Amino acid sequence: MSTYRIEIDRSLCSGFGSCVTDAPGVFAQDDTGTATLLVAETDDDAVLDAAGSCPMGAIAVYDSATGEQAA
Amino acid sequence: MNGVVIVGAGLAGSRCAEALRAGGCDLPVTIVGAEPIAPYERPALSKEFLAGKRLEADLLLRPPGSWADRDIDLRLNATVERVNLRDRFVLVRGRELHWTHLVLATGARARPLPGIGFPNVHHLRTLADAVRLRAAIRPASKLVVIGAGFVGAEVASTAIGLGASVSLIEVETAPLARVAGAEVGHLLAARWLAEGVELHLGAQIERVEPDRVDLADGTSLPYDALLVAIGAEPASDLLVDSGGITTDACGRTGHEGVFACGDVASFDGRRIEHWTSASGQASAVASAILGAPVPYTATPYFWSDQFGLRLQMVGTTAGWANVELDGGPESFRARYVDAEGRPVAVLLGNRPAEVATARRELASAA
Repeated sequence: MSTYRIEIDRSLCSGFGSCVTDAPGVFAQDDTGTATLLVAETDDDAVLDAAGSCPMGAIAVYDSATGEQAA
Repeated sequence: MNGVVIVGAGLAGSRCAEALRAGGCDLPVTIVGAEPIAPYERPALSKEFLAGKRLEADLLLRPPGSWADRDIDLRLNATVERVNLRDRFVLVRGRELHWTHLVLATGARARPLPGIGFPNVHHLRTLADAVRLRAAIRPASKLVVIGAGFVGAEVASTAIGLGASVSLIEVETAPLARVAGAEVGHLLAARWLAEGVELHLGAQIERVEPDRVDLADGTSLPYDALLVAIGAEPASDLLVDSGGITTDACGRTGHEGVFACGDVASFDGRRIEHWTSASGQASAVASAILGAPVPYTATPYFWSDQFGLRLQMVGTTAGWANVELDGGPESFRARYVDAEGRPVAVLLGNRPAEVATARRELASAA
């Protein structure tokens, strides 16, 4: 099982919220609708879907062990 | 050389290249871009960039080195002059660039107003346009905007913030009426008026002079700068004479190995000029090139920031029969339903917390 490190480019986020739907344990939205992280690292593969479904491409997911971008 | 040649270094072209690499594509990937800058965030041009809050370097979608890092050959300042479908090459500065897969992501260009070409007439589409427009908008200068669409409204909003005086001319009787309907349009108009924009709705232009616009009702609007913001048309002339390039839901055109995505594409029957569509369509094209096609069928979504309002629309209002409006100019939700009462779109003004709900409702109604 992989562990993932997640980054959000908040300047790109437009508040679509698909990340919260895909990985509710990892992402939330603040008062302005901008995505925030609940955890910095996770082993939940759903973060890959969240990165893929972000309409803005604002979410980057890295493999914690290798540092390689996973999504 | 053979491989994937992507024409256009905007969001669609660059996302397609990235998705190819992320999907394990081992073909050479070349992006040919007409502008001198690496892929950047076009939406910021009318807002933060024009306001001077973000600089050119802040607009880049990726750090400059990331294209080479991913073995993506990014060629800037390069225009494709011609596509040869039979022998599978494009002509760039007279040289043949061969491809096995061709992705046309040439975007759209600002629609011109015929017959006016004065030096202080502007369009807004590219970074160069924005640099020029930024220099023309100064405190106490007079800006006239023709067209109360999203670009016109965003520039008007930014210009007001910079201390310019702004007159907006619109042929319809409400701004954004074609997209949002008259009722929501009037609500937006109220907000714009309160922010200090001089609105000329239902206006017919009689004549444009180098220093003023004369309306049919006798009004004369002097200007220092004139922005023509009457929409965009697909830059599709490499393949078709006019209109968008028709593709299926994976971006495949009728020509073997030729794909299109983004503003230039009439993608699965619809041409949509949204950031999110360009991005999603680019991924679909990459999936088709990789041999595991995943059609792009997501609910359309866009946003616009203007006059302290964040507008977010989920779905499309095409075919709407009724609108249910909740709220006022400060914050509202407009829910568009078809003749059978099914929701087709939701437009939110300063209601970011409701976007996810709207998205789920429309996805389940589709």
